Amino acid sequence: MSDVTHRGGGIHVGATLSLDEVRAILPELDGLRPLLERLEQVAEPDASRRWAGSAEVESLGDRRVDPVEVDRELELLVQEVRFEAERSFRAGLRALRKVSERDLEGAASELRLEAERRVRDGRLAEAEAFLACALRLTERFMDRRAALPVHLAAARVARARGHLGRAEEHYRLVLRLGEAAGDLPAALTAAVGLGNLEVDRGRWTAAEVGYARAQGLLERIPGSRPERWHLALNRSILAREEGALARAWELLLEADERAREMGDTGAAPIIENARGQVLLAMAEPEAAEAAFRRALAVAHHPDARVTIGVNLADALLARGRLLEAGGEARRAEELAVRAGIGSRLPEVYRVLGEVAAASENPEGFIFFERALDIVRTRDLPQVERARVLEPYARAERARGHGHEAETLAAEARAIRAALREGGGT
Amino acid sequence: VTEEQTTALALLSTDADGDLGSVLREGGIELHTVRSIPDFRSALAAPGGWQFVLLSLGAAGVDEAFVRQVRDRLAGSGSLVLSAPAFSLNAASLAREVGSGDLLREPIESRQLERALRDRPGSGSGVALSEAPAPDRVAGLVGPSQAMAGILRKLAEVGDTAAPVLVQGEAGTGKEMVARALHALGRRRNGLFVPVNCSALPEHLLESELFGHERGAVEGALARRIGRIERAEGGTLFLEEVDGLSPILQSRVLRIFTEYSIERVGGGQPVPIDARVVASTDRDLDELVERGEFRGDLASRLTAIRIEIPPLRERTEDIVPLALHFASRFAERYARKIEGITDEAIRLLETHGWPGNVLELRNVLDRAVLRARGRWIDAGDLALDAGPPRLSARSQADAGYPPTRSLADVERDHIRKVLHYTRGVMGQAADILGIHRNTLTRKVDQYGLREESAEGEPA
Repeated sequence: MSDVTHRGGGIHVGATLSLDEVRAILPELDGLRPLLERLEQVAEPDASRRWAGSAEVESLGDRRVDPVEVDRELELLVQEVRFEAERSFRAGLRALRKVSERDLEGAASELRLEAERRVRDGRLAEAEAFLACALRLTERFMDRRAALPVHLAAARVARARGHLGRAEEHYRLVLRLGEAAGDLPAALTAAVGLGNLEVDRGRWTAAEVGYARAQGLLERIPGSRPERWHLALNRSILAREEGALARAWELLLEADERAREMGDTGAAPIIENARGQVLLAMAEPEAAEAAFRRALAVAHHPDARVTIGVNLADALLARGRLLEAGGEARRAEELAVRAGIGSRLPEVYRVLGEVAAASENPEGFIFFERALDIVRTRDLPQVERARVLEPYARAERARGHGHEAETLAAEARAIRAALREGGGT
Repeated sequence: VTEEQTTALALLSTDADGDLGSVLREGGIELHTVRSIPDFRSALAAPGGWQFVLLSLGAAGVDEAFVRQVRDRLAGSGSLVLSAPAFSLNAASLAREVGSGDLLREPIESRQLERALRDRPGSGSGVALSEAPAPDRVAGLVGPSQAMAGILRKLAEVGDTAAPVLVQGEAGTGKEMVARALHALGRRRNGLFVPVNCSALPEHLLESELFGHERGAVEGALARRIGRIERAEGGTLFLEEVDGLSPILQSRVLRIFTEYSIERVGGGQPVPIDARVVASTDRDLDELVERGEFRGDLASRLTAIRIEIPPLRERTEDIVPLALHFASRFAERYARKIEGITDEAIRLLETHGWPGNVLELRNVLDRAVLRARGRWIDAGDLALDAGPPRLSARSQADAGYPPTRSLADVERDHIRKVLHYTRGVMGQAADILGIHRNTLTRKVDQYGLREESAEGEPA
């Protein structure tokens, strides 16, 4: 009998292991990361326990995997790792060769592209390391304008990691240099980014200033740019966050109109999703549900589908349709796991926690615990933690755990306050 | 259900129908056609209601918002059918959204409309919800089977004792209902009924939940917390899926029976406990004891009295009464006017295997009440083949795709899947797909699969 067990400490005998067991058995080494990721991607809920009460609160660590199955496709996994390693080594060598040829801009570009590839894979810390090297090279550039793409990439990664202060420094530098050197598109991107940072911090007035500056820049750039609808959409989100719902709706229509004028087909899922969120904030969950369903019908990217799926679950929850809400959230969970975007799971488990709380499932709090665990182990931004703590506190209060609820709520408030004060550096 | 004439209200554009009304009348369908929204509104508001409402998306003033308004107005009291002068994805998607089923193409042929109406509930026979049996007054259980009668007898026999009870049965059979009934019948009915699922939580959390903790005993424990065992003092502690307890927790739970006390985590003092213990499992506890996976001394105490709930497939006479009971409950919860379940749906319910037992039946009826397009739950509303709620992507992939999907649709999905597998590496994806990279690039653009990574995307 192994003591490396999870659920209730019970013993599971059989060919499959839970992911919690896998993580307890294998060391956390970089070299094993691809294997662990693959195990996570192929793990499935225990079909034999599908109707058990405990299955209702199963989460990532409870999914089960058959090591033999992964062993069968090991060759493919090894090839993928080799392919990845070779690509990284070649990028590194290309960067070195370019430095030796005195092509510093080319070298920085190689490093930036490698970083951006890692961002797509969700490996933000590694991306940040590549960008740090690229940034060091930019200090030796003769033409500072050539450094702007690197700073923009660094800003995006810093924001994604919740390092808002660092992101702000990069964006400000790009804004200043871009305006001075006449690189208005770069300056515009930075201005929008600065507005977004302020939204992250919950500083609405500062966000408005950022977006207004971006709007000014946009008007100075000839031609059709996606920022035309992006900005209207972002300002709509800002208005929604401020509670100005009529204004949010107007801006959304504006964004929709501009995107249609531009023939931007990629806008539809984003705008429909935002429409659903405004409707949800307007306490129109039925109309919100319809908007989210329209968004899902045209969204293809897994990240977007997970976000919309979670929002749809929120709308169904608001309508009291708990079974459907849980079903949508489970679909989003499945997609996040299969697509290898585990960083999206906290929001999935947040809504599953709320569904469980509404169902008065006394074990539902485990979803919030799992979400917090993922935020911690994956080093996600603190705002993600706050987003889990807030509903967790409400659920604990409903369970009659007033003291625990207050502790959780106080921590969430502290995180939000730190962000408003410019935290997240 | 009815031998009466079917009534349908239609808001149609002038091009939408030929002489539908007279043809349908011969088939027992009374079609009242209007051509304007004001006429439609007054007809809709007329007393008596309509079994079917046909809306043409080509009629003046009919847009998505109006269709949804009509759907909301009907709220399950009548079926909505949509037609359109031309097929479009938007219209088909709207039809699906409002539960209209297939979109009828205009000009509407009488046979097409007849089929659409005939396929809907309200044209056969069935069992009315008014025939739903009342649940047992004390236990709240539903079912006329001998097995249920036996359970009710057993509950009456042992309810008033203080002895521990083990409720056994497959997952979803309703073990918690029986445990609650035991509490309601027991001497400690004025205390709390406190359930805890022993297989749902990691060991450290389960320990804290069961036994509580003292301040500072575990990370983040800023105050003393009363555990669920203590909360059950004077009431009933329900240990669900008790086989999930680890050996350490088994020995700690045993103290409830041997020393009538527990210790909080981080606490040195025993806390006296006086609670009835009811446990449940879907496994064979004796076998687990034999295999050394469960303590024999704890098992012997938990199994002083056993109540076995047979699976639903072994008491098929309970299926329809339970289905009617759940349908009534959910119709009330969701404010849907549901009159009954059609014969065809009943046949499906009776022949299904119910691996998830009563829980599965309950979920099926929950969804069916919401899906029902008319006042009767029909076979199509049951979605028994929809698969489990946790159906994995792999299982879905193995199941293939429905034959109604277009080639372009399948191609788009496959390209998306391959790009996902190659993490967006186009060259590798083109190799797998066996097409030229340029062809792939074109298809990616054509299907809108290019990722948007603009700065302006929402936070």
